[in-house]
Amino acid sequence: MLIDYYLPDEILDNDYLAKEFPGWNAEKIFDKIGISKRHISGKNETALDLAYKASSNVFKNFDKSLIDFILLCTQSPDYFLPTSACILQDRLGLRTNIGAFDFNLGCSGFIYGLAVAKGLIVGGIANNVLLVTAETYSKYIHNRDKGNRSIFGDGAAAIIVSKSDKEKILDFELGTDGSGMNNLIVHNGGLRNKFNPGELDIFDEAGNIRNNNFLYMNGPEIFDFTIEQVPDLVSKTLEKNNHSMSEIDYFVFHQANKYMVNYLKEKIGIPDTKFYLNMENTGNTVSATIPIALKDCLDNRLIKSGDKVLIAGFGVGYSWGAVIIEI
Amino acid sequence: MKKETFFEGLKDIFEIDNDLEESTHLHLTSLSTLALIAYLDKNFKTRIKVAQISNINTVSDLMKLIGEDNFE
Repeated sequence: MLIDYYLPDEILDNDYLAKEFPGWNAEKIFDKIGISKRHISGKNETALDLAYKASSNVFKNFDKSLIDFILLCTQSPDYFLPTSACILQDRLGLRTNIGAFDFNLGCSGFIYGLAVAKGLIVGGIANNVLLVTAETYSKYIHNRDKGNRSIFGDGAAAIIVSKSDKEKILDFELGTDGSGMNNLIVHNGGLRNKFNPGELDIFDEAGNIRNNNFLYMNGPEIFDFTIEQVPDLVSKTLEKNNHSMSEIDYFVFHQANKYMVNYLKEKIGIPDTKFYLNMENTGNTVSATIPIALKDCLDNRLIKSGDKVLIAGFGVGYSWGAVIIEI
Repeated sequence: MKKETFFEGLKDIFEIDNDLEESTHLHLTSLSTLALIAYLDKNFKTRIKVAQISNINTVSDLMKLIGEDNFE
């Protein structure tokens, strides 16, 4: 499986946050969320730039002239129009007789990208799909919102999905519930509510400051949603593929934060030895966490050829999805 | 669940050193709310909405929300 990723150079570590927010207990926060540093995109560096760099990294091991479709998952496009995937085609120097489009999803995005890539290949529409997930939530977060600045990091991952006799993408289980839209949202800046420079700041009980021009996340509501949906998602994915828990060699979930992911692991009953948890040096990179984790697992031989891996993404939308892949 | 066991659980979640009483105020932060949601999910069958949890002030409020017949 060809995966690579790119993380921007600038680092935001816990020591810096502790200096900026007196009273912010770096040790306690690390203990709870499992993050010690995050990579942050530069002022003029966008998700498209990260996507370009992640794709360039994966092309070190793949002939880019074979790519016949680009799927770019991002919620941070350069423009309303044109489509970032089209600009990416040109910047990467890919053929022009290929398809390309963006899709707007967050933490579930990698799963949906794989589902679409599989559909394109099985349908005979494409042979080699470049799936890129690229996100820069840092640009949406208010500078005085220490909670969200602690959790999210920027990054991009690129994967080549091709026809293969060995590697397989099995059946998907997907879910959507837009009634949760207000629990993770950037209210202003789209066409429903335009960016408002006069927006008043909102202070929460923990001292975070934000306003409707910036990202809002209701952490407890998101946690509650995952408790309700993710165990069911995993069992339905196993059932759909006629697999038992014990037949899965490894589980890689969206790396949201340590507390949430650990609780899901315990609730579902996944052994520690089969479960990946590592966001210490990246933070929550939204749609890039799963491919980053897969690459790290492959590099560290936590996952090896022939393994069956259940991957699951869940979050903003609400949107969720899971699938079993055979490496 | 025995009240004593429940109170011990709450002391851990809210990092309270002193003994709890039903009138003790519970300071809800984002992290303590997450821990409380996990605790309730693990120990009680009643599903409580997050919006209801955010309205509690005291141990007693929380017990009423869970349902007092869940305690010995």
